[in-house]
Amino acid sequence: MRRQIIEPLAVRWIWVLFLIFYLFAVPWMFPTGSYRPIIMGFPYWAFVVLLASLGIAFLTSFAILRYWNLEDLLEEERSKEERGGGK
Amino acid sequence: MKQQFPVGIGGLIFIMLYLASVIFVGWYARRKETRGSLDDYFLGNRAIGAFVLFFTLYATQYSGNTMLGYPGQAYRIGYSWLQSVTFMIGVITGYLLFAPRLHILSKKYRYLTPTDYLYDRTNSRAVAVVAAVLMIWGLGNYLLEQLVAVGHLFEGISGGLVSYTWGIIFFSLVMAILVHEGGFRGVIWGDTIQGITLLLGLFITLGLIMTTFGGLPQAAAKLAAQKPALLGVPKPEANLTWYSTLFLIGIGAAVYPQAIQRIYAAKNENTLKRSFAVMAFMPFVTTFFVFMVGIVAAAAFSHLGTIQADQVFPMLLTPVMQGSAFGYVMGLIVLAAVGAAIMSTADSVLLTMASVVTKDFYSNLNPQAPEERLVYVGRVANWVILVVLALIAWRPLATLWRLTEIKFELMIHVAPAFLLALYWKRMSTLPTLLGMIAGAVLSSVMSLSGYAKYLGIHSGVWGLALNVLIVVVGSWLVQPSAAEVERVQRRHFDLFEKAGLGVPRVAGVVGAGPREEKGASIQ
Repeated sequence: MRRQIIEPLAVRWIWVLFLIFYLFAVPWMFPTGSYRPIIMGFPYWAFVVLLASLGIAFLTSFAILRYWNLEDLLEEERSKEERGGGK
Repeated sequence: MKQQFPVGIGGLIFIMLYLASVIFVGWYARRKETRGSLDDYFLGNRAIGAFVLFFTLYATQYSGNTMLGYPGQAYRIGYSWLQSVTFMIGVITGYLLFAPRLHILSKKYRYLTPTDYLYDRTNSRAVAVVAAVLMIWGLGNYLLEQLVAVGHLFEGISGGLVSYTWGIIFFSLVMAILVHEGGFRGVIWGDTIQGITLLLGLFITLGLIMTTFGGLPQAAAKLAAQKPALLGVPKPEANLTWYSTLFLIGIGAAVYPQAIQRIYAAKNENTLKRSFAVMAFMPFVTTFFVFMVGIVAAAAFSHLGTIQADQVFPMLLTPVMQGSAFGYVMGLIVLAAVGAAIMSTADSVLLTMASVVTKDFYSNLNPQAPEERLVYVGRVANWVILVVLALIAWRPLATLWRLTEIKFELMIHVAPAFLLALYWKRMSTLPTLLGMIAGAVLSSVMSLSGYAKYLGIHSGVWGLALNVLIVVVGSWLVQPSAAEVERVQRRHFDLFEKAGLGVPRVAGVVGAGPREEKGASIQ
């Protein structure tokens, strides 16, 4: 099975998405002092903040599980050393 | 104002048993110890599995301040305290910036303290020492914050029977025994128990308070009539501060020394990844729950002062515990969760401080000291640190939240050294050192002269900007020697570059890596 050597920082689209989520994680785009409608106990803007935060959590978790594999580097190095007589 | 937890003698016995179990964990962990091994005492032999690693990360990240200070902050500023959910997720995002490479390098070169990496990368004892001093300062404040919180907690739960001072002394003693006996293994096993207790307590808290005082819809309706400012979109400057907080904590807490040591201690990459992947969602059952407690309190109690607002959690819990036997028992579990949050953070911080004192200071002054001697020094350092901080805890400086800000303002200045060093081979030693010092001085001077925030942005962020500017510009001006460039390349970059993982194309911009998904593949 082929395993790709990769780190999250190398995947640009993830960081573009992070930027978008973080733009919506603070309610700067809404009128100061506004809070209606209130939905299930949350002002409307708080919903947007929560959704953006959820997006950041999912993206972080996804980036960790899908785009983080460096450990094979060590395995590869060890096997090279063994093949090379422990040089 | 004193907290009024009506726990009675039964509750005190429950808490004593809980603390006794902590000592037992320390004693049991010592039986598993490899004698005289620094790796074992400070990092649990670098063999921590995913389950324990997750709980030690969780219990360490969420502290006494989360349980006692954060509801007060929600009480004061209302719905904009939702930022506590975002910034806690941001800490895990922050790990993405450095943990993958640092974990690999730590396995390869067996780093023990965070500054071990910095020393190896910069080949400068001065950089390592300055970074260690900043970390000790930040960690000291962090531990101090836990001691202050526990002093108030003991005083409250005993109805004044145990004073603030004796609460600190008693707690410190239990913790010192745990860390002295159990080392890292004792700490993380304790963290696992405490993490589970914390989670349980959070769910119970939410259930109890929502059923007793009503949920968020009622609270929001009441606030709309009485305190609409707590519901409204914040002013532009407050939004800027919100971003500043996300940045400060997202970066600052990710490079917490105790967190970095857990990256070193993970058994392998997979255990680390699984733990972090779940951690990204934990704010939704931790700071989000606590946020709701604060909002309910804002609707239930009006017109509390700044200091009183830090007491809203016990104020909500009191009628619940007095209401029924069930409420009393559940309340005790919640109190245990508060204690667990404090203990789990404090013991981890204490052990990390001891490791920095032992490895970065004592070992450098006594390079011939055998490993067994260093472990002994580490054990003694735990006691010395605790005694010094317990003495300082008699005079708390400000509200709990302010204490948090003070630690970030300084500790964040080790972040550029870590983040740039891992990806930018041109980073030079002298500018790194000057950047750290100048950034820390600027942040401190601003805070001490009444500019904790300027234009809505925290002094720590201003200092960080100066720090990064000096490192980047200075590194372009000051070239390392050819031998040093070769050493850094061989030790820190060859491994990654051979696999197709490059370095940033734009100096100082960490986010620019090689082309998307262009990593190498191996069979």
